[in-house]
Amino acid sequence: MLFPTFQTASSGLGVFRTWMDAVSDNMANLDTVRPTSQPAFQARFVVASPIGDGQQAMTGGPAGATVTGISLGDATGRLVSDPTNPLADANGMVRYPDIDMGDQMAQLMIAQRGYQANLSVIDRAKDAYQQALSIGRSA
Amino acid sequence: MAVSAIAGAVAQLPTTPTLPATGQIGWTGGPGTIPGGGIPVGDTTAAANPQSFGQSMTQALDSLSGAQAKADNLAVQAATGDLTNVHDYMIAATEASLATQLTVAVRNKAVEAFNQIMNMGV
Amino acid sequence: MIDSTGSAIYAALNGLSARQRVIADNVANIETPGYIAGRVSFEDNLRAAIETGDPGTTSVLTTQSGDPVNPNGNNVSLDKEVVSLTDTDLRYQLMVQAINQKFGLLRTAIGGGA
Repeated sequence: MLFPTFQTASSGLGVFRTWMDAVSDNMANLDTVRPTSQPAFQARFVVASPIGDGQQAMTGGPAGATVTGISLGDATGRLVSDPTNPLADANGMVRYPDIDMGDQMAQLMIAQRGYQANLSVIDRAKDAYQQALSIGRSA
Repeated sequence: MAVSAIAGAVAQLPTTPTLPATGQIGWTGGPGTIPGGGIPVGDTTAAANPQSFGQSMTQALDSLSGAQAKADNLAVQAATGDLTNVHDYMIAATEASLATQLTVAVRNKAVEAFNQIMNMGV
Repeated sequence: MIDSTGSAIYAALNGLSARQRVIADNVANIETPGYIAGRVSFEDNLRAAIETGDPGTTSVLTTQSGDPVNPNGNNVSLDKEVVSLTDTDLRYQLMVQAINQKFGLLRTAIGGGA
């Protein structure tokens, strides 16, 4: 591979983009109410794992990270008393998802940082390779 | 390369004998032993590997075609995207380019020298 | 004047500029419903053509990418296209350097001057 750094950083971009998508999914469903007979809306968690074994990265082989799956959070959720809700059961309880907005905001900031970090890897690598392309060119 | 031809010529010049240490004016050894060395009789190592100019040129051309072949090889690898280190190709290309220029310069000087010799009046 | 290395470089230049055009097309259609991203491949063809000794016969293929689609049928991923564009750009510059270097050697030999 001619410029292996780009592929690696691109895989990182994919992982953080998926993470941000998952967080936005969770935040959009903060108030998704379900009746107690059904499981609550489960929070989305991204499961990522590294590509390659680290040794291959030295020789330009596959490297980076990939999303191996999405795992779902707690199905029990929070039981909240809301008798006026059309979905409430006989006791007036409904299920809210077990998602904490503060936690999701923190995750969003981390994912954004990760995304920007990979973008700057691409930028710096591009500068380095352009310098390499000017080897031997007379001034 | 031309430099090694000059080095070969320099090696054939006689080495200067070292002076004896102070307090030892003249030598006390018998004839045939000069302290500090000198030119031993029968030494032919310097004269054993002279390089003619033609041999130097042939060596230079061989190394030049080797450098060009290496640069070509790496260029083809870069074209198919199989090259891992971009700087490998750039350095090989620069080497080939400089080697070509050096060979051309040596050839020009040799032709010039030959012409000068031919134009000398007898 | 162009040997087999030169024609391999020329084939790569063609393939890379085709890829650049397809990337521009993909990025322009990033919000078009139902649009499937295109991918250009010429490296495998070039490798095979070099084996048989005639790189000039390399063909440039455009296929559709198999990436997962959005809810509106579009499967263009901006990250992938930007990275691919950067990579293609740099490889194009490298190929231009390579062909310049080959012509430079010829020029030096012809010109005779250091």
